[in-house]
Amino acid sequence: MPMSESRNRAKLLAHKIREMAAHIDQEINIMEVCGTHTVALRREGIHGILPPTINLVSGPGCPVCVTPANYIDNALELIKDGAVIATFGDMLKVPSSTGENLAAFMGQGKVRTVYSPFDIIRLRDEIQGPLVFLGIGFETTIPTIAATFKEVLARKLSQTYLYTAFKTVPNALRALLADKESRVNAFLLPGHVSVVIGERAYDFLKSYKVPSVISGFKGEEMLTAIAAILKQFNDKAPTVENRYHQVVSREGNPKALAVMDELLCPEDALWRGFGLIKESGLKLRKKWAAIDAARVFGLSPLKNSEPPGCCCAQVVQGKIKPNHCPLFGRGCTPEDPVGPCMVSSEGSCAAYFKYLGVEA
Amino acid sequence: MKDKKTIRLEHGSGGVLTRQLIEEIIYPYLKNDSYSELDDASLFPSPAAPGEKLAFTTDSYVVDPPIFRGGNIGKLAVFGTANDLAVSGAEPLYMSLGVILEQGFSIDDFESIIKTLAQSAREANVKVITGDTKVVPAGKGGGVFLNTAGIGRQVFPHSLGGSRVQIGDKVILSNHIGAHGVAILSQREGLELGTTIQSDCAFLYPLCRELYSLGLDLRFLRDATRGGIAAVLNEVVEKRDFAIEIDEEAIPVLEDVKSTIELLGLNLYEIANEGAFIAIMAADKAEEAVVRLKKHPSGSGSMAAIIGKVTQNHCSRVVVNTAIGGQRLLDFPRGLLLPRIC
Ligand code: SF4
Repeated sequence: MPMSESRNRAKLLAHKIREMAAHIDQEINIMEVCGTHTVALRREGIHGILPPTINLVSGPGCPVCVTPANYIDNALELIKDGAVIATFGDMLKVPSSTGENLAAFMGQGKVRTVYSPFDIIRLRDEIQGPLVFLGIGFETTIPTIAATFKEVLARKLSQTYLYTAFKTVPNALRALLADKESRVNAFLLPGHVSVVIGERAYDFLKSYKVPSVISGFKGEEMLTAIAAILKQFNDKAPTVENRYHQVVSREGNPKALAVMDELLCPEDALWRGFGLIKESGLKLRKKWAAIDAARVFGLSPLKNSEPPGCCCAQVVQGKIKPNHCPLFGRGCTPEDPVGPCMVSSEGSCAAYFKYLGVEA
Repeated sequence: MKDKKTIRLEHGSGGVLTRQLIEEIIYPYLKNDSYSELDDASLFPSPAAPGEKLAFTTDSYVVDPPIFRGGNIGKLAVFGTANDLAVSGAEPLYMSLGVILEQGFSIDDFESIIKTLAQSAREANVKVITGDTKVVPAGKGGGVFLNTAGIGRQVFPHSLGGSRVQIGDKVILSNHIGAHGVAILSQREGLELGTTIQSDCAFLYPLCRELYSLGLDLRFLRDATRGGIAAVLNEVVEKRDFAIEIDEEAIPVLEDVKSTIELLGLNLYEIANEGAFIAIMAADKAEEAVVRLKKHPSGSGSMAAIIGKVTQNHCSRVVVNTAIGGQRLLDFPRGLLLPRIC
């Protein structure tokens, strides 16, 4: 088989990375903030290309993994009260605090999966009674969900609600940096999120002097970004760099930001693993209270609790690797997941299990 | 509190749970000398012609939607069952047809399904010689379900189930993958993506016959249906003292299928196909096998390629060499795959 150009370029990059790493006399723990990176890095086998002094540490960027367990309790409650839940497939198998999940209700049509939030407009015609969309996600998914609900409002669709547990990236990074126990000393910044919020949203990182690079998701793009991080170490010039120019601008996507702003406003959000982080989430503005499932149905506030033995809380903070959780691959597998990190396709435990194996 | 006690959709995905269901519930009760391997079809001695073997298989079809781009459930029911015989080394001859219809299903649609089924049977040179029809009340079935059982005559006299695979052999994929699953999904979910993609549903016996003529150098054949090539390759290495290494870049896939899969976050390796098989060949015959597949007038092997090899490292695992020179495991499909695509 002919060696592709991309394999050639990757080889050069790997060589460059090893060369630079040899000149840096410290361990580098790069946190990939975004779940798509968690998967892409392992899918491309990048862990095996890097020298041993450079570690990839998964971060809080899997939306399902940072959503408190009783969010699912509340969704199940809604079903029992007669609502139909519409959600992305990733939420189906997340265990509630009593170990139930939404998947069990799919057969009865009480839970419908969608590939795009806009599907709920089609679903609305089919379904009688209240229809609640589970609003989980980061700045990548939030604009589409906001745009969908703008449409719901414009069409005056009745009994169509949004249950928000949206998270935003910048203040989560602040929380990570404030944590004294954290080993993270560099960030691989999310690509898709940055398309929306723009390079500008990370300006505050400069004062922390932590090398940070916005990266795409192709193997070569991620290697390029890792090389850029090492160069910052090497030059002792930590900064925030955009290595995903093709799609990430300085200002972000004004349309997406505008539609988010129209419907949503910042809130202090509860993250699984981290606890409450100031202004790190988005909720519906008061004037849209009529479509806010949490208010309309008086849902209990979110609170954190972990299944016994599950270390997801440490995993999402990058404090341990999934294979250091005693349940990894033993009590906890993709067929029978214990925590959200094994459920979500973007979860760190699932990515490890799938691409590196139990022996990893 | 795990939901272990009831059937889950994943039990039908062709992955780990499907295996468990067969191995733990079905197989222990039904094991006998003709049902001794988890193969797609069983070979048994012909009572009428001593020395000859017959092959027998059955498969049920529950695809949603039943009529899709590039075919319908009727075509699938004939080709799917015929292909199971073909990859077991048998020429498909006869079939049965069981139909379960749901009250309210369109008779016009049913007729067009049966028309296609008849046409596919002619194409495959298979005769449907018995059948049964049942109707269930509205809400108790998925429109139309079909079951076909097929009988064939063994024409390749060696096992194709993987027992002859050796270190050094090459792994061949007979055509591009992913199209069937993506076509069904995009149509079922009404997606705007992937609307130009057609199911790859095809009759594979003529291609398999090309490889039978390579004799013992043909070690293994299996169509990559439910669970995709991930399931097939993992079944080959399971409990064996070798591994399979495949080269990501060598996997044939159509451009529009690839981009749709990326956008939807699907796994190309786990998606069901209805027109592609994995063959494992002795290394020095692999090139010739690919040439034969590519040249075949049906066109069903036009993108055939050597995608990897059987190696000694990483025993019992399937390893992918990524385009940038990294490595990762290719696991048995585990999660919920797209339900009801075959
Ligand atoms: S392996 Fe399972 S139990 Fe352990 S941290 Fe991951 S999800 Fe939780």
